[in-house]
Amino acid sequence: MANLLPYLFDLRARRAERPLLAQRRFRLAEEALYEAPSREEPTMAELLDALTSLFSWVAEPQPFDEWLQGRRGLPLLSREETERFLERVERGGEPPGAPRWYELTPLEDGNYVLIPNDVSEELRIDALVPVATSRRTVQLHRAGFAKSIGSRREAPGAGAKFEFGWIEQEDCVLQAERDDPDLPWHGVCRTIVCDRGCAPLTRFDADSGDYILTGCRCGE
Amino acid sequence: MWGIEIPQVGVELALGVPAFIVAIGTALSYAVGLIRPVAVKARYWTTEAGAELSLDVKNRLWHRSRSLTKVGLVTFPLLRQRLPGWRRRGGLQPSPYVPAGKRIGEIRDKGIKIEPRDEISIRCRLLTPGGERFEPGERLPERVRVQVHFAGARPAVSKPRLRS
Repeated sequence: MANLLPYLFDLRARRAERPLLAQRRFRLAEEALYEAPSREEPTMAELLDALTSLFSWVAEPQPFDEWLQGRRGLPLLSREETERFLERVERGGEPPGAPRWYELTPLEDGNYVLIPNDVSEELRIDALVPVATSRRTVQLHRAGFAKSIGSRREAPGAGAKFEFGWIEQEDCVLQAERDDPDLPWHGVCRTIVCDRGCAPLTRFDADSGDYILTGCRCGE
Repeated sequence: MWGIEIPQVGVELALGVPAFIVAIGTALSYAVGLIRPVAVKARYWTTEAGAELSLDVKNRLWHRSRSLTKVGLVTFPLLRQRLPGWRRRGGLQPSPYVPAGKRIGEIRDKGIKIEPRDEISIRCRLLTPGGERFEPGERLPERVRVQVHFAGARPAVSKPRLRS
């Protein structure tokens, strides 16, 4: 494994007494990738800023929604978020050089962590940076540095921007695993890009007395 | 003249004694909570921030506690539509108003236990699922009722009245 990120993850996890990365791997992209059309190029300053803030927290697992909103670290996805991610992710440009892929590694607590990896021989510390390219899409950029033993040089493509793909974001999402302490139903509506308010769609079963959250809608 | 004359006092006794027993039995049953085991009193009022609902729920039983598990607002059908079996035929309709508040979350997660002869008060906000604002002075529709569910018992229903 060329990317040292999983080891860093385990080091931090041991210190914090959190679950380690499981051995099982899930490969997200093995078939040929295609070039993604760039929608809005992030500036180099934005990438540099992301990189400098990355390395102190590179292996810190962060909840996926917070990670998408800019919190640096490893994206930690719940099972539902993982399913949604796999439904929505589109594969983007493959950088020149060694094959690269992304691993959704299952953890003992049922969550998944998304780790970039490749087959390069060098020791790498690669991380993912989310860059919003529009109000509804986020590109996953791979950023990091590589070191060959005995020499200090940058690996091909390291530190550069690679467009992997993007996640189509919904206006509002229903999160079934969380509850609002004030509301009679299970689940919450979380706003992604909805300025007009994310309204819950509910159903009331008058016989059983249950309120059921059936979905979320923007602008109601 | 031959015949049997029923004394007037006998008729009174024959009807009066059973009636007395039934009356006493009914009164005792009500007193110990066998009749109307739960009393629910609902009041609502509006403020600038919206509408609030206050529920007083009393467990009238002497011998056992109750677990309040759900609170909801329902719309009853018109009187002429309440033919026998109307509940089974889905006559109860949901109300657009939803109770919300910390106590409602507590009820959803673990319920609230009401000890025998004890009474609890629940205060919550009223909102609509769409988040529409409850205007000051707005009244709840006439046929809206508060329905309170208990574990292992029939739900109790109360008409919310505007607090003066």
